[in-house]
Amino acid sequence: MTTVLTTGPGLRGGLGESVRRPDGGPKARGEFAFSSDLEAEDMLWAHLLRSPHPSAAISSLDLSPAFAVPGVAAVLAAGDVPGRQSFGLDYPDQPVFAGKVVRHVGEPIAAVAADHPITARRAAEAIAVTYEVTEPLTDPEAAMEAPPIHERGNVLFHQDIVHGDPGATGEVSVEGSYATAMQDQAFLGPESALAVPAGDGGVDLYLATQWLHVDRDQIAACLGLPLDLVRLHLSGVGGAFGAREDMSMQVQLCLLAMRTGRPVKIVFSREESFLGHVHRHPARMWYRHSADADGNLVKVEAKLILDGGAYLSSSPAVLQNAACFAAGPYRVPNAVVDATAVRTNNPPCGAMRGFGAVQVCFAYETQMDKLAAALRMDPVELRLRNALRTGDTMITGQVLSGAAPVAEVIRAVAAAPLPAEPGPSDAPEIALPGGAGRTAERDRVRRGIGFAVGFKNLMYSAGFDDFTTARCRLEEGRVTITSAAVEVGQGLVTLMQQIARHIFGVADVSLGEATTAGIGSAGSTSASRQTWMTGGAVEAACRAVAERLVSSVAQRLERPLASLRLDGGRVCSDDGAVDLSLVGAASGQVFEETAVYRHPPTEELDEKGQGNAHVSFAFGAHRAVVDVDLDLGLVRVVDVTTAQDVGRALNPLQLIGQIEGGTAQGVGLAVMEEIVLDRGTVRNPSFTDYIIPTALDSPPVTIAGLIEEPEPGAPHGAKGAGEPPAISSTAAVAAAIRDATGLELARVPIRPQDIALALAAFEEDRQ
Amino acid sequence: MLRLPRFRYLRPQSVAEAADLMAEHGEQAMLVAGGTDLLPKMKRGQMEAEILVGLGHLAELRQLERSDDGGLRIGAGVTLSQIVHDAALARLYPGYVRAAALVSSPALRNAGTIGGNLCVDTRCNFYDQSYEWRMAVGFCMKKDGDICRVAPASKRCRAIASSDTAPAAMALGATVTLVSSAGRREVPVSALYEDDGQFYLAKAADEIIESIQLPAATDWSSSYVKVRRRGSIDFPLAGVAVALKAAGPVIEEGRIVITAVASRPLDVSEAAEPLVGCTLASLLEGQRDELLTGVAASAARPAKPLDNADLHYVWRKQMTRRGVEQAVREAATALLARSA
Ligand SMILES: Cc1cc2nc3c(=O)[nH]c(=O)nc-3n(C[C@H](O)[C@H](O)[C@H](O)COP(=O)(O)OP(=O)(O)OC[C@H]3O[C@@H](n4cnc5c(N)ncnc54)[C@H](O)[C@@H]3O)c2cc1C
Ligand code: SF4
Repeated sequence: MTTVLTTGPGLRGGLGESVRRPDGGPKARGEFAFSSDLEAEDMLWAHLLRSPHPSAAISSLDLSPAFAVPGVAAVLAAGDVPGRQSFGLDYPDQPVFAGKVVRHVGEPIAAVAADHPITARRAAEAIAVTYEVTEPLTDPEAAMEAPPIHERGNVLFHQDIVHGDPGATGEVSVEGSYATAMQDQAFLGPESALAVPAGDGGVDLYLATQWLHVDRDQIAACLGLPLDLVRLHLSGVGGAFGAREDMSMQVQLCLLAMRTGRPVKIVFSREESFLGHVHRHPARMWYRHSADADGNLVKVEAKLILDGGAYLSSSPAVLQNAACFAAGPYRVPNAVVDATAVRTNNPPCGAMRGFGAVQVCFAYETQMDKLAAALRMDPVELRLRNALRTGDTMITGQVLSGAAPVAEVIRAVAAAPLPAEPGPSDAPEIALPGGAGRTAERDRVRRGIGFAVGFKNLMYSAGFDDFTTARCRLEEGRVTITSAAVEVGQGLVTLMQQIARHIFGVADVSLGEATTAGIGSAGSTSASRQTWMTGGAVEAACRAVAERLVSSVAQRLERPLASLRLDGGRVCSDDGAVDLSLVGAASGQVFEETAVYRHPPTEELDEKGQGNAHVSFAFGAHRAVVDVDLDLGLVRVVDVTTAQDVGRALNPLQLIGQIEGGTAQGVGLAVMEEIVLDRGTVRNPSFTDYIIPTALDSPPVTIAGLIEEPEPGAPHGAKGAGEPPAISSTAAVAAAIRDATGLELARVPIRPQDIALALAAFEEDRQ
Repeated sequence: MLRLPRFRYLRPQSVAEAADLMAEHGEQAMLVAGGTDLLPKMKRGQMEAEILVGLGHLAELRQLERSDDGGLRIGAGVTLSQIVHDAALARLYPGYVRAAALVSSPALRNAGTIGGNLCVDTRCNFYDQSYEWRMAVGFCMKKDGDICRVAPASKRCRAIASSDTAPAAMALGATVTLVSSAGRREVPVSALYEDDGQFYLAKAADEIIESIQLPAATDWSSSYVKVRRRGSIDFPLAGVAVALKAAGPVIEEGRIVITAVASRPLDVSEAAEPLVGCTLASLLEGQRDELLTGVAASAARPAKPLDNADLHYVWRKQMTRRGVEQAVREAATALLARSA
C-alpha cells in the first residue's frame, strides 16, 4: 500500500523506506544516554522542596536549617529569582517558587544544591515552612463561581462556537453527559537536567525537553539574562507526549548553578515527575446531537468543562481544540459549543498527545452510537453518511481544503476481517480477561465490538507564527543537517537524514547538535508538526545548497544552468558531458544554507468561534474488539484495527510505531489510566498504582489502511502522525465494552467495578 | 530520584552464621534475600535498617529435596523462577507453582525468593508511598505515625496480606523451618501470620526461614486464582487458593485460603465442608452450582476489604467469591482428569 519514493539508484535510506533509527539499537541495549545519565566533574545535586498541600498560605519560611546541613551549597526560594518571578507557555502565571500561597500539591517552594542527592533531599526536608491550610477548590464546575484562587481568576479560557442556526431542530435527538479522567503521559525518563555555569556570566543547560528555544526564552526572562547567555542543549529524551512542553525545574536548576558556580544536576523521582509536569485535562462534557430522520446531522450542542488545575499552561489552546473538534469529523450545519477551562487546586494540566481532541472524541463518538441506536441505523453507516469531505464547512466556518479521507478510513476499518473468537485450544492465560491471572471463565465472557473516528489539527493554529529553522552543510561530499528540533523518540532524526539523502543521493548524512547556540528555533516537537515543519525546513535548506552547488558548477564550466542537474549523488548534464561526484562538483568549496520554513498563516477565531484557525487536519478510525468478563468486570482488549490518514508514508516502520504507540495510549485511558485525586492529592503517583498497559495488556494493532492522499502544501504530501492515532482508540474501546455489557459507561477509564458492580446485585454485598 | 539510604551489608557463610549476626545486631538488622520487596521499601523510607544480612548467595538455602514422607523440602532461597520452571513441581503442586508464576514480572521472579515471598510486607495505598507523600498526607500507624488513615477508628493497622504463595502453601498444609541462634522449629505456614497489618509476622524478627516443606500430594490437587487488573506485575486484589483431595470420583477433603482481603491470609476451610462427599463430576457438570455458590459465599464471608487498594472494596469482595468458585472448579477438573 505504501509507495516508495525514489532516492537514487542503489541508495538505501531515502524517503519512503523503513529506515531504522540510529538510536534504536542503543536504546534496546540500554546504552543510550538519557538526560538522567548526564555528569560533570565537581557536580552538585539539586532537590526541590514541594508543597504538601493543594491550597495553603505560607505564613513563614525558614531556610536556615537547610543551610546548616553539611554538604549543602545553596538554598534558594522566592526572592532569589533575579528576573521575572513566574513562567508559563501562554501567560506567565506560574511562580518559579511559591511565595505567599501554594496552589497545588507539589508546587516548588525552595531548591537545594548539595554534594549528594540524599543530602539535598534531607536539607530540603529540614526547611521550616508554616502553612495555613485552606480548603482546596477541586471541583471544576464549582470553580467557575468560586472566589478566585489566583489574581487572574478561575476561568482560564472560554470559547464559544456558534455556527449556522442555533435554533435548528432535528427529528431525532440524543443527549448525554460524559467524563474523562486525568491521564499521565507516563514517559519512562523522569525530568532530569544538568546546568553548568559559564565563564561569561551565562549558563548552559543540558536537558530533555520538547522545545529548546521556548524554554530558553522563559528561563532567560526569569534569570534576567539576555537570550544569548542562556544556552540550551538537547540531551537524551526519555519520552515526552506533551509533558515536557512546560517548564518543570529548568529555572531553579540554572539559578542553583549560577549561585554556586558549579554544575548542578537534578533527576526527579517518579512521584515528583507525576507532580512536576502537566497532565491531560480531565473533562466533563454534556452533549445533544440532533439529526433528521435519514440520519443527517442537523445540530450538535456541547458544553465542555476542562479542569486546568492550578496554572494556565497551554489550557487555552487545549480548550480551543476541544471546542473546534467538538462535533467530530462530521458535516454539522448548526452547532453551539460552550467550552471553559477552569482553574482549580488540582495539579496543572496542559499538553498531552491529542491535545483536547481525545476527550471530545470519547463523548461525540458515544453520542454517534446513541444516535445510530435511536435512528435504528448501523453506526458505521451513520458515520459514513455524515463524514466530512474536502470542500465541506466545519463548525468553525473553515472550509476543509486539504485531504479529508474520512469515509476512506471508516471504510477501511469496517471492511477489515474480525479476529477469531477464542477457541478452547487458546491458552486461557493469555486469551481471557484477567490475563495470566486466569480469573475469567469462558462462559461468562462476552465479546464486544466498538467503532470510533476522530480528528485533529496539525501544527500550531489560530494565528500563531509557527516556523522552524534548519541548516544544511555540504563539505567534501558529506552532508550535515543541523536543527534545534527535538527528537523525543518519534524518529525525527531518521527522517531528517532521509530527506537529505533523497536530495543529495548520498548515504552519508550526519546531524549537528540540537542547541539554541547557533541556530534558530525549530518550534515545538508537538502538535504532530515536526515531519511537516522541520521536514520542510530541512528540505528547503538542502535544496538551497543543491542549487548553489549546481550553479557553481555551471559557472565554473561555463555551461547554462538549465543543462545541469543533481541526480543520484552526481551533478550531470543532459548531454552526458558533465558527470561529477559531489566532491568533484564542489571543487573544494563548502556550501552552507540555513532555511526558515513557515506553514501558511492561520487566523484567530472570532467571538463566535468562527475563522480559518487551522492549517491542516488528520483523520483516523479505530475498531476495537474486547472480551469482557461480566462477573469480574475485567476487560481484555483483543484487537484494535485502525486506518489513518497519513498523506504520505515517508518511513512506514516509524509510522507504524506511532500508530501502535498512540493506539496503546488510548487503550490505557479507556481501561486503566487515571490519576486518582483526593481533594487535590494524587493518590497514585507511582507506576505500581498508576497503571499503564503492559505488553500482555496491549492488543495487537492491525493496520487496515494507511490512507495516502498527499496533502497539498505539505512537504512530500506527508501529514503528521504523532497524535492522530491516539484520538479515537479510547472511544472505540469504550464502545466495544458497551457493546459487550449493554451498560452506559459514560466515563473513562472504565474500571472493573463499573462493569461488575453495575451488573451484579451491588446492594447484596454491602450488608 | 530515590536513592537507597546508607546501610551495611553483611554476607554470612552459612545460615547458622546469619542467625548469629541477626542475634548480634538485634533490631538494627534485617534479612534480605532477593531484595525485591525490601530495597524499594528502603528507598521510600518504609523500612529502615542499618544492617542487611544477605541470604541470597547461600547455597544451602537453594536445595530442593524429597522428604521421607513423600513430600518436598524447598530451600527458602529458591527463586520464584526456579519454582515456575520446575515441571515435576507443577504436576504435584499446581496451585503453588501457579501462585509463584503470578508474582509480579519475570525479572522480579528471577530475583525474588520463596522465603522472601512468604514474608512480603503487607500493603496499603496510604503506606506504599514515598516518605514525602506520607509526610504530606500524614504518617500512619504502620510507619512513623499513630493513626490509621483508612479506618481511623481502628486500633490496629489493616494493611493487606499480599503474598501470592502464602495462601497456596497454606492450602497445601505446608510448614516452614525457622532457624535462629536460639534453635530451630517447624511450624505450619499459617502460624507465620498475625491479623495485624503492622506486626504481620508471628515469627521473631531474627528467625530465618530455612525451608518450606510441602507434604505429600497423593490424591490432592490444588489451584490458585488471582484477581488483578493487568496481565502482569500487579499484586493480588483478591486471591484464592484451593486444595481438594479425592482418591476416586468423590471429594474427601477440601481446603480454601483467601488472601488480599485481610492482614493475613485467611484459612476458610470450614466453608469447604459441603464439598466433601460431592462427586467431582457433579460439581463440574453444573449439578451442584448452588452448593458451590454457597461454599463461595461462606468462604468469602470473613473477607473484609477496605478502601486501601486499587479498585472498589465491594468489588474485591465479590471477586473473592468468584475466585473461590473458579479455584474449586480448577482443582476438581485436575482431579477428575487424573481419575479418568
Ligand atoms: C513491582 C513489584 C510487583 C510485585 N508483585 C508481587 C506480587 O504480585 N505478588 C507477590 O507476592 N509479591 C510481589 N512483589 C513482592 C516481591 O517481589 C516478592 O514477594 C518476592 O518474592 C520477595 O522475595 P525477595 O527474596 O525479593 O524478598 P526480600 O525483598 O529480600 O525480602 C522480603 C522480606 O522477607 C524477609 N526475608 C527474606 N528472606 C527471608 C528468609 N529466608 N527468612 C526470613 N525472612 C526473610 C526480608 O527480611 C524482608 O522483610 C512485587 C514486588 C514489586 C517490586
Ligand atoms: S491500614 Fe491504616 S495503619 Fe495500616 S498502612 Fe494503611 S493507613 Fe496505615
